[in-house]
Amino acid sequence: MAGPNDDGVWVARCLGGDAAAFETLVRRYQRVLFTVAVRLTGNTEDAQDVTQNTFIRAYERLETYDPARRFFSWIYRIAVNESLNFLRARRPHDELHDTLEANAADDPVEREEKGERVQAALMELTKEYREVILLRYFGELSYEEIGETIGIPEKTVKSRLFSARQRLAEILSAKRSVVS
Amino acid sequence: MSEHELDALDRTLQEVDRPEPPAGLTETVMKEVTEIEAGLSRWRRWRRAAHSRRITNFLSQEGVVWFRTKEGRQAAVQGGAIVRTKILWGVTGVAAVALVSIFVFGYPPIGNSGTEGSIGAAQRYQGATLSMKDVKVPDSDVQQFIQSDTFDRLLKDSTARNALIAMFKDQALAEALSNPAFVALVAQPGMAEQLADPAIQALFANSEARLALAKPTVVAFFGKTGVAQLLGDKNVAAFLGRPQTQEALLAPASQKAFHNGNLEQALAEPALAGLVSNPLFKSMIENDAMMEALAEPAFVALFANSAVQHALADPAIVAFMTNPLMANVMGNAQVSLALGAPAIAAALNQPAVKAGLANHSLMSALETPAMRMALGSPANRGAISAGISAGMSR
Repeated sequence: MAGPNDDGVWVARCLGGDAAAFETLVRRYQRVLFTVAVRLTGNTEDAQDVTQNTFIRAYERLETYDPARRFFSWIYRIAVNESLNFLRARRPHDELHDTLEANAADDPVEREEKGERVQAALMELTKEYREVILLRYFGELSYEEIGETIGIPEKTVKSRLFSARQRLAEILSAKRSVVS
Repeated sequence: MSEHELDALDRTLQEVDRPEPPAGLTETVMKEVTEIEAGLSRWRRWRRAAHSRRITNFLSQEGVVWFRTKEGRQAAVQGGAIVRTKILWGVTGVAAVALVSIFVFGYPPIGNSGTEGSIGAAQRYQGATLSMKDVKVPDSDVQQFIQSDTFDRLLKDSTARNALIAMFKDQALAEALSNPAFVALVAQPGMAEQLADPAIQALFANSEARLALAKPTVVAFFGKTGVAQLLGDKNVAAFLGRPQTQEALLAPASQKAFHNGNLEQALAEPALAGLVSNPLFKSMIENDAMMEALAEPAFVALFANSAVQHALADPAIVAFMTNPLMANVMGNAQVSLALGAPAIAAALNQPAVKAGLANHSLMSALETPAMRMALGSPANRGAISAGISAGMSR
């Protein structure tokens, strides 16, 4: 992840009227935010809308960004709120479906099934647990960065991540036993 | 759950595909962003540019230090010795407010053991400062302020600290700031943010504005409960930060008005504080059309007009302005533009007009859509002004 000072420079340029400078920030964070959105909303189409809205909202509210904090922490909160708003607005009968595409692996069917199982298990976790798993494994953030992003001490990140992993393993184990 | 099972989970999570953002996402976002940028109002652009400068200044300071808060959040301050110096200045500055308040104004009183008679010089200073007559501040305000979250926030917020330091460097303003009324004003919720606002700092940077703000009557006015609460409001901060407001406040005509005794007399009028702390007044200053009207040279000239200043200090006019209906009417740009016409400004000071303004039906008439539409026409405004002038000359 790029240094926070560097992000601040790009933000300052955007605020100064150089809208093109925002492209650097979009390219830098689109992958991690899209992954988080996919895992929160459950499908790639919705995640695309959420990611786009996140960047647009961020640009609109750029003057509220505090340079004393990391840009990613700020935009991540916007992404989470956008995802939650999206889920709230989604009609109850809309099904959660995972359309994650498997890459060209040896056994694409197995990979896809695994992906679907993990996605379904993630959706059963509480928001707090899901958040730390997403940031650690899909956002590839350090404990320190996770703590900063969600506003909890590093020690709490570690303990929460441990509990979240245990819960996720239990859910996956139960799903496997049901399948078998 | 065993360690082995958790390791297996870690491997599973590592193996799950990371979805690639869809092609064209960046382009779609950038297209929207370009449209947003093109549609920003002048006010938003100015505000964003101000924040851009704030970020650039923050980042360009040597030794930005990143640290971890109690909550584990990472935060930054301008580092090392700079921070220590600024904290020292901040503490010294606020301590100066408290000490000057205690020793110069004798406020808040420190016990009654009879030792007060031994400090002759302090007694002389007390006699020379009359502003306490106008200022009613509860005894515990200074202590409360020092123990308050606001004070804590001011010390922790580097931008607010910078603002305070800049203010204390100015002798005239520092004297004004030592007034308990100002201490009470700063203790208002939301004031720390206001002090940190570049627009407010720009106002303090103007020597004429500083001189005006340092006047005891002005300080006393801002220290009045309703006015102080109003200044703590974020919408009012936004109003003061608007380029049009700054332009109007710093215009030579406004500066002249600040030095005029009549304006001070008007500020001392209790009903005027009632007017500005009226919720309708707040809605009035949030009105974009009203802002445009305020920036009109005619409106600035209106307040610089000594006849109007006399009128503003008149209880009849103040009663008229404080009427909730009138505050509503003033929120209409056409009405305010019409009131800014020179002939109407002159007419305001006529006894007959004052008597007319006290009439409730006039306000009701001004509030009707038909009257607003009529006042919206420049030709009509001219005709009304001419009519009033002719009426006054008879």
